Order: sequence, then C-alpha cells, then structure tokens
Amino acid sequence: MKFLAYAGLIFLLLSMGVATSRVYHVINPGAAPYKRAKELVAQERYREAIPDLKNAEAYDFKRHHVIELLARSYMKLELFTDALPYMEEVVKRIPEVGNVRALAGLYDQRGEVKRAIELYDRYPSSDVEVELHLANLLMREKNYARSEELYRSILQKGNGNAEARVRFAEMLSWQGRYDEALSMLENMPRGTWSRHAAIVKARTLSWSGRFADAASVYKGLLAEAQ
Amino acid sequence: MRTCVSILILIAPYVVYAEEPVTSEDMDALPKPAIEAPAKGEVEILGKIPDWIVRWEYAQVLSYLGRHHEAIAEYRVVLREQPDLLKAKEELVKVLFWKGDLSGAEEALRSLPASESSDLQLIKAHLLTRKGHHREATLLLQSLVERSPRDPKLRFFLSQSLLWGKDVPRAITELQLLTREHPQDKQLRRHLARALTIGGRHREAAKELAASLR
Repeated sequence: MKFLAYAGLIFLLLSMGVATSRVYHVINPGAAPYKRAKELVAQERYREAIPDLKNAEAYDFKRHHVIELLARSYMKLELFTDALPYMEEVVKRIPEVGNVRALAGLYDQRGEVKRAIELYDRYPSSDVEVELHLANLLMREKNYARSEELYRSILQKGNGNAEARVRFAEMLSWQGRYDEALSMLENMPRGTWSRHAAIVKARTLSWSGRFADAASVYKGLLAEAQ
Repeated sequence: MRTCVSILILIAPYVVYAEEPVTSEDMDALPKPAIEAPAKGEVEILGKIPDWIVRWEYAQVLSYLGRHHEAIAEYRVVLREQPDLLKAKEELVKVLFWKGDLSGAEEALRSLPASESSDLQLIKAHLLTRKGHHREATLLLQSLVERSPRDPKLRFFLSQSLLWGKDVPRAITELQLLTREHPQDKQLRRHLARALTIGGRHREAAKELAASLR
C-alpha cells in the first residue's frame, strides 16, 4: 500500500515536471529552436543552426546568447556581411578583446580600415594580436609613424614575433627605407624565415633597383613552390 | 530505501526540467569556435600570396634586367593560369616589342581589348610604321599628342611618322615646336636639320646643324 502511495506520488511529480516543461515551451516558443541550434553549433553545423537561431531571435529568447551564436555561425561560414550587425551588438555588450578583434577583422574584410582603427582606439588593448592587426591597418592607412611605434612595441616585448618583423620590414620598404627593411629581414630569428619574408625581401630588392638579387629570390620562391 | 525514494521524488522535476538551458553558464559549456575573420592585411602574412603573383613579379624583374626571353616564358605561364590578367598581357606586349619580336607583339596586342594605355598605343603606332602604314600610325600618334601635348616623346614620334609618310612640312613644324620647348637638346636640332634637308630648306638646315655643334 505504501509502495503504491510512493509510486503515485512519483508519477504525480513527474507529470508536474512534464507539465512545467510544456508550460515553459508555451511561454518561451524560442526555447526549442534555441536548444536545437545550440546543439548544431556544438557539432559545427552552422548553416543548419542559423534558421533556428533566427527563430529564437524572433521570439527574443536569450537574445544575448542567440546574437553571439549567430555572429559566430556567420563568421564560421565566412558570411561576413551577415555577421557584422550581430558582432557589433556582441561588442557593445561585451567589449572584450576577442570580440573587438573579431569585429575589427570584419571591418577590415569589408575594406573599412578607418572604422577598424577607430574601434581599436575606442577599446584599447595591449594584446599582441590586436597591436599587430592595428599596426597593419595603420600601415595601410599610411600612418607610418604610429604603425612603426606599434611594431617596435611588439618586437620589444621580446616574444620574437616573426609576423611583426616581416610586416615592419614591408612598411619600411614602402617608405623607401630599403636598407633598414633588408637588415630587419636579414636579422630574423633562427627558424622564423617564411615565404612571406622571402616575398618582402624580393620586393624590397626589386623596388631598390637590385633586380638581379630580386630575381634570384623570386626564382628560389618558385622553386620551393614546385 | 526510503531516503533514496525521497531524493528521487525531490529531484524528479529537475531531471525533466534539465533539458532546458536555463542558466547563462551553459553558454560557456559550448565548445566555442574561435571568432576569426581573416583580415586583408593578414592574408599575406598567412602565406596566401599565390604563386602566380610571385611569378608575375619575377617576370617583371626579368624584363627590367633585359632577360626578355625568360620574362616572356614566365608571362606565358602566368597568363595560362590567369588568362584574364589584362595588365600582364599588356606587359607581355611591351616585352615582346623590346625583344624585337614584332609579330609576337602584334599578335599579343590583337588579343587585347582596345586599350587606353599610351605605351601600348605607341607600340601599335611603331608596328603600323614598320608595316608601312604611315597614315594610320600618324593618326594614332596625333591622337596621343592631343591627349598629352606636353609629352616630348610622343610629339617626336609623331614628327618621325610624318616624315616617313612624306608629310615633311608638318614634320618640320612639330620638330620646330619641340626645339623651341627644348632648346638645349642637340639631337632634336639634328633631327630638325635632317627634316629641313629633306624638305629642301638647306640654309635653315645648316643653321640648325651649326647650332647643334655649339
């Protein structure tokens, strides 16, 4: 008899749970699509996740999370224009370095270099990746003085940032400071020489009129490619 | 046993409820894909400069070195891969011309859409002159001079084309204009003297030659 009473009670409580869940779904129609989308994103099935995320967004369900997932999904699918408004919203809410870097990358992708620089200026960071991206953007805007300052700051941090070194050399070359650029490349730390470094060297040699040397570097690059 | 049942009873609704993501923390439990949009400036850093660009730059450098034969071979490889690369096609025309392969230059030029590039128009005018089509060459050069009246090289070629087309008076006029603008250029005076001689104006020709020797 006691057993039956307990079983009845368990059944009653389980039914209440199911009922609560149903009520939850009725009150929050965005919950189910959100849950599905979250699972799809976890499985990296971004394209399939987007309709559910849009659905959840329409019901204004867990907006912050939905927006973040939408931004990530679009970026993973390289649909940068679609990602942009969502990423802007993410940054407004959580202006942490990764998000700011991602949004600046989106602006850069669209050729909106000035906007990307403004964003970094609004949310300053001493993160090396951000500094390097900002230095590259400033170089493209021909703001060589500020760009040089940043490259030097990155190199002084002593982490042997090869990308910064190559970019810095390229910037020096753009300014006609060929010897400085070549010296920068010749002093690359051991093991950091890259194809990009070789291309910058070939271009610098060519721009400085040292065509025979440039030809030899280009020839080496093409031989490596084969 | 009774305790176990009680615990089960107590947690039952939560077991059912747990399917819903009710806390914001579960967002963090997701495997976060890194947010990354490759920036234009970084594409090169990532080593994505395609080989055809490297080969194109190599071809340019070879042409500056006067290694026309090798440059042409490289341009042809680039254009096999990038057949719509108009600028490379134009450069190939020039290199073929510099090498003296006039028929090759002409053929390459024919494969190009009508170009506004004055370098190419100049090559076209040279090719027309070589084939004896002086009138067409002169018309082409005339239009180039009208477009860039301050370019002495174009006006000089126009004067030569006029001379080859036996329009000596106009050739003299163009050369006189040039010598007035560049009075120190002795070679120009000698070309003017030659044109004056052809035109039978020997006294003036002698004067120009004398001036070119001073």
